[in-house]
Amino acid sequence: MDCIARVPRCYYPTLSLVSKYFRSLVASPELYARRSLLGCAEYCFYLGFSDRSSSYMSWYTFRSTDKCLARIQSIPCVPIHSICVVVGSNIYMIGGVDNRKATPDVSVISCVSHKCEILPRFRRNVAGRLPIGFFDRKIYLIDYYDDHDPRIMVFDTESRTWGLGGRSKVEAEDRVVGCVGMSGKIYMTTTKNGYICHLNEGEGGAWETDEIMNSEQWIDPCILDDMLYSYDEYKNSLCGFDLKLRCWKKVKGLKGLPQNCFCTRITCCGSKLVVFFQTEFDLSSGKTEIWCAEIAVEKHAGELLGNVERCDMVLVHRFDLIECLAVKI
Amino acid sequence: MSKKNIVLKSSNGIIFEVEEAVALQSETIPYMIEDDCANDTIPLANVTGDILALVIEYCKKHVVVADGDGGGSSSSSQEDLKNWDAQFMNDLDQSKIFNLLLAADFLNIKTLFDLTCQFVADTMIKGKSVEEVRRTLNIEKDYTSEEEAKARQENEWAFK
Repeated sequence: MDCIARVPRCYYPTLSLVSKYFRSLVASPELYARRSLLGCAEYCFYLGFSDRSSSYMSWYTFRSTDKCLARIQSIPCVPIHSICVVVGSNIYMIGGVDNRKATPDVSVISCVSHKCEILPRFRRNVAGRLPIGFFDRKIYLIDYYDDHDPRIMVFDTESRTWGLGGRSKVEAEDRVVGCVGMSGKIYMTTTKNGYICHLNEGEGGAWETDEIMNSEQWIDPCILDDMLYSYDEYKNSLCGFDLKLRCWKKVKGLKGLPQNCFCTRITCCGSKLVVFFQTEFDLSSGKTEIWCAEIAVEKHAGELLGNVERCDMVLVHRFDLIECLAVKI
Repeated sequence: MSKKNIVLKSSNGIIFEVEEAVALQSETIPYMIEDDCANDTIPLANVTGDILALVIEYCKKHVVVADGDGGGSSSSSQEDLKNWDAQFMNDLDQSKIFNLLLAADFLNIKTLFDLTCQFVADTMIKGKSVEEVRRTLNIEKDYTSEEEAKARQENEWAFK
């Protein structure tokens, strides 16, 4: 186990074919605990793709070393537009659109065993963009869109139960445009204002508003080193909001990124930003290209300087990229 | 001041006399000294002479020499040690590597255990085919053809 723990995870599918023992070893929580202890845990990308003819999403792992995508056969197709959050080595999925109708279903995928488990349902049918965050073993979902009871709903990942949290400051007549949860906080941009909800401060969290954060449009950002980064596919530009200095800056010096993209997903792994791009469909073949770029950003003399360290085409297919999560395991 | 020596005896009866600081890199040996205080020789029933010689060579290179101020300083620079470790491992055949790994585990020498595990991971497992891993680690295939085909299907990389 001590040797296997030191092997990068992308080789585990091959190792699982060596013998039955190896197969159970590479899916065992003990091995991943050892990887974490040894400092060998690494970021793995989980990408959700949807075939345009269906309303379901399939999960794939992305191997950045040789740009391979692998369908995770053991996880069934899941409803598209689920609200996803990574907690440790698990991906929790809440709601989504199942057979053209929103669903209250909740499930969790273990990125260790690649098994999916059904969890207690959410209080109502839900899909799309609801602010979600994690703090102290609990998932917080800001269910602002419920007309009668805009509330923070709390899922305890240990007891696996839903509970009621405090009232949401964002209400149903407002509309959340973008959101991201990180380190016990949820950042939101809405049609009215920018909000930060501090989950660690009591039942309803402590809410603050930030108009400057709301002055730029951002949808699905990621947070790295006290900066909130968002990629604007219409302007082909990467912007960062400094959460301490409270100002927006454009990341300069980016070269070699794909153009004509209609969808981007941004995440971070370690000290780098990882952006997945989906290009416009080729009208004759119906196919689209998925690209992946690794970007290092440096703060220099009050400016953000970006360096595209690699940018590769991952896939040409008829799929839509729906979800992109980095899981450290 | 004279330095205290410790006598180690391998499973095949070979005697090694080493400085205490060298031997005490093993976290197992101090317990053996306590348990076996009547006898000056520490018997190591799980380690053969050729492997124990390698363990001692490693420990001598990695011994931390106490300086006059009571602090500690490494006998070699970190970079030199890294290069030495790489050369040390590269000079060994596969059987010695596995036995060294087991000896490092038994003697609880953390840095040597880490070094051998990492070497096995990098040179014998990482990037190797299923058949190569089986051959190197002497593992028999216990899948039936159907089971293997199913496992292959589950792990098929979808797009290349």
